[in-house]
Amino acid sequence: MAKGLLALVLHAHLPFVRHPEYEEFLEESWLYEAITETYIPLLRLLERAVQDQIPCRLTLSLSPPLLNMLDDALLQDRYVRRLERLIALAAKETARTRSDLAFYRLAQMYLELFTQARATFVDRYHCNLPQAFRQLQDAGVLEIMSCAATHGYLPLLHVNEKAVRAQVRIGIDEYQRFFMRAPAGIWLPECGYYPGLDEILQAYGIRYFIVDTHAIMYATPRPVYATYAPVYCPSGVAAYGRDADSSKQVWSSHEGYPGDPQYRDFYRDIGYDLDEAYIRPYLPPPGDRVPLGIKYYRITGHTNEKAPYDPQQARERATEHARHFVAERTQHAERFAEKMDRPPLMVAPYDAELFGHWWFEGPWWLESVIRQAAAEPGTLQLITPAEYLQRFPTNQIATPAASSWGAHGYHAVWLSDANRWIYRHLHQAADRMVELAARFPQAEGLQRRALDQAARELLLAQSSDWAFLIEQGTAPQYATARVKQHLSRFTQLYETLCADRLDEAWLSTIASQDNIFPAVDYRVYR
Amino acid sequence: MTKDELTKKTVKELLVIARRKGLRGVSRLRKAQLIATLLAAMSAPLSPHPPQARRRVSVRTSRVAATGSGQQTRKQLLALAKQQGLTGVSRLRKAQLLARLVGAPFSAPPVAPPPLHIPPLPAALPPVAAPHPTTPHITVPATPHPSPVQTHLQEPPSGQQENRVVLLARDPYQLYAYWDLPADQTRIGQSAWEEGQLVVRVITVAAHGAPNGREVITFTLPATATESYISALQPATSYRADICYRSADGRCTVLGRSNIATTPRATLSASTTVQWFTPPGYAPSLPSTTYTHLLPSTLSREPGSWYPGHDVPGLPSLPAPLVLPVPRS
Repeated sequence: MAKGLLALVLHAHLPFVRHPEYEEFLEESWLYEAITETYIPLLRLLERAVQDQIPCRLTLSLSPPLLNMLDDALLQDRYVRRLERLIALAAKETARTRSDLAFYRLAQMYLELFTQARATFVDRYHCNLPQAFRQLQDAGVLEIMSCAATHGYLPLLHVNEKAVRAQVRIGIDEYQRFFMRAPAGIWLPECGYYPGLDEILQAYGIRYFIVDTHAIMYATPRPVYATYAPVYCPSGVAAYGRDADSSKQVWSSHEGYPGDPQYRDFYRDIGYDLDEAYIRPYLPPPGDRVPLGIKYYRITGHTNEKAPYDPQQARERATEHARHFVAERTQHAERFAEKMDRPPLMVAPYDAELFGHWWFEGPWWLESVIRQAAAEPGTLQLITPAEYLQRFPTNQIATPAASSWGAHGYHAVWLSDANRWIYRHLHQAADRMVELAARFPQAEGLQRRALDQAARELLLAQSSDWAFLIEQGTAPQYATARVKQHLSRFTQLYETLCADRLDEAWLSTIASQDNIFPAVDYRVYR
Repeated sequence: MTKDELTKKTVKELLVIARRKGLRGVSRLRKAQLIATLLAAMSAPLSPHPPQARRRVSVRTSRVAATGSGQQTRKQLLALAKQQGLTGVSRLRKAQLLARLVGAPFSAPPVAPPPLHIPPLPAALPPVAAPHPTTPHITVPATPHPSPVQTHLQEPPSGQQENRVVLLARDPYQLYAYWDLPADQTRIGQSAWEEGQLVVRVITVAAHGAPNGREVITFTLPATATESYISALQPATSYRADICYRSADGRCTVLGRSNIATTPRATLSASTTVQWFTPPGYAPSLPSTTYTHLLPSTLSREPGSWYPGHDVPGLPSLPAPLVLPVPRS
């Protein structure tokens, strides 16, 4: 039997950003970058595991907004166009760098990366990444988790319990639409938990969720096995606590792997480094300098003098870091194994977009961890949370503490000086949505379309991303605009529904823009 | 407020009222114009802006009005805008600049692209290097971008007519409360209302909301306040807040009562009772007598390496910090 069990959990999520009303839109790049740098590398490494018959067990949550964007024909088309522009730029770069071998090889690397991404996306997956993930789940290497409908931060929405129920229920419905089965687990947005939330999850058949370390450490009663085993909430849903050390080694600014000098520097991008006239044709509107994804330097150290990136050395370093990670986890498990009736479980959740986008070598590291664990089955064994409950169904009953994985561990990131104004509007809109669902119990035709759209607008306004971006000061204008736009649209729908003067043309326009959840049913708010 | 009541007020008082209502461009109006504007604003059946939004607009308006920006040159306005941290303003015309300064981002025309911004390069670490694992969403570096989606937005309107008090827990020691009291504001009348005070009374609530709570904090706020943090509370405790109105003659009335909010737990539970559970349909996977508590004696942790409380200045320190030596290879 293995000395320890490791559950690698990736949470893939991006806010719903889709603007058909513009030819191009800067914030849509978030999706395009993540497809090239994270989702395709992740799919390919899992495919290699299937081909090589590696006993890979990875857990991945795919949020409904991300699934809806990946499934959207307009965004798929725009992504391919974007890739084609990058392929042209990379080809131009191979010509420009021909006299300098180190840079020339890197330009070739990017040309190959973009060309392969296009071939994988278009020819191999037929632009349908959700289906590719589904096939890997069916092949047994991947366990896909559900997530709340629009990544709403549930502890701050639950003044109206129906708003929380709708987030959970629609998230599960979307999961079934894409993956043709019921989810075993749910990723709580930002790991945001409050006692009682598990009862709602239980009502929808969810068997587990993941919380931060202190949610389990401060559980009531005290957890016997700390975070090395899940606890059952009184509702019977299992709560897994994040292993603090696994997280720190990947995330920490001081000890984390991604800061290694051999790794690629995220900031040195030709979008900033090269002549504006040269790169202008490749910049999205309004033409400001933005990263283009071609980066030639490694982190090097605390210096402005960056050395050229060496992919071979970086890959070797990623393998070393994977070896270190597996050894540390094994050593850690050994320390506690004798005090437990089963191998200690370490749950290591990360944002999926860390791997490949922020940390370019992340997918190599991940693949190396998977393969090293498989090569030495007596040390560390990969497991998914649902599989764990099959093997070890008996666990302690305890109620986790209210918590999140944000700064300081509670709700302050999403309820700060900068973003607290959102909540009075979100709460009022949720109350009004419940009121509409009660007032129109069986709407049809135009009324039904308006009610379903009102649900979409409310859900989009509730996305935790807006509060986060406003608090972090990253794209705060855009995030603020999105909250206000969805609330304005919701309010207009509410008022025109109540006054029986719906504007069909306007409804069609906003429905074509905010087209998330084609199958949403407003009666979820009853 | 009637026309007669408004007429009795000074221009200064009228300006204060106008700004509280979020009216823009009023600072140079004559008294009669001001009264007419105010009456027009009051005759609207419902406020087009929620109190929160009103307050924010009001602050911006008064900030510019105080500097007399209407008379200032474009250059002076530009300097003011930069001083206030506004970006992408250098190519704006005077009227556009003024609009930005008085806070009209949702009706202003698209702003010209800002000067090119190159982020600092000596970033030795990629941005995953957050001091702790907040979620680093994919973002482009902070390039100011006048996103065109903003140009046709409105503030979310509020049509609420019932009093409402909402209490939310922020962390183990702090709550946030907001309230809307339109019913009583209308009943009492705006001018009389502003002469009084709000009294916020915070009460502990026993489990399941049983009514044996005790009052822990009471404080007063101006009658125009619409929200407040409530600090110095206890973890794992349930609270309720009452918002009362104390009129100028000292009479006090409870206007609204909040939901119950519970602060998160921030310490190990005192309860060490162990109860095992096996879901129906599964064979139990361990004998329920063989276990050892890993907490707290066998686990320890460096202070600050997990987030609750340790690194929040001014908060009570947590008992029994758990220090887990980080294994070194």
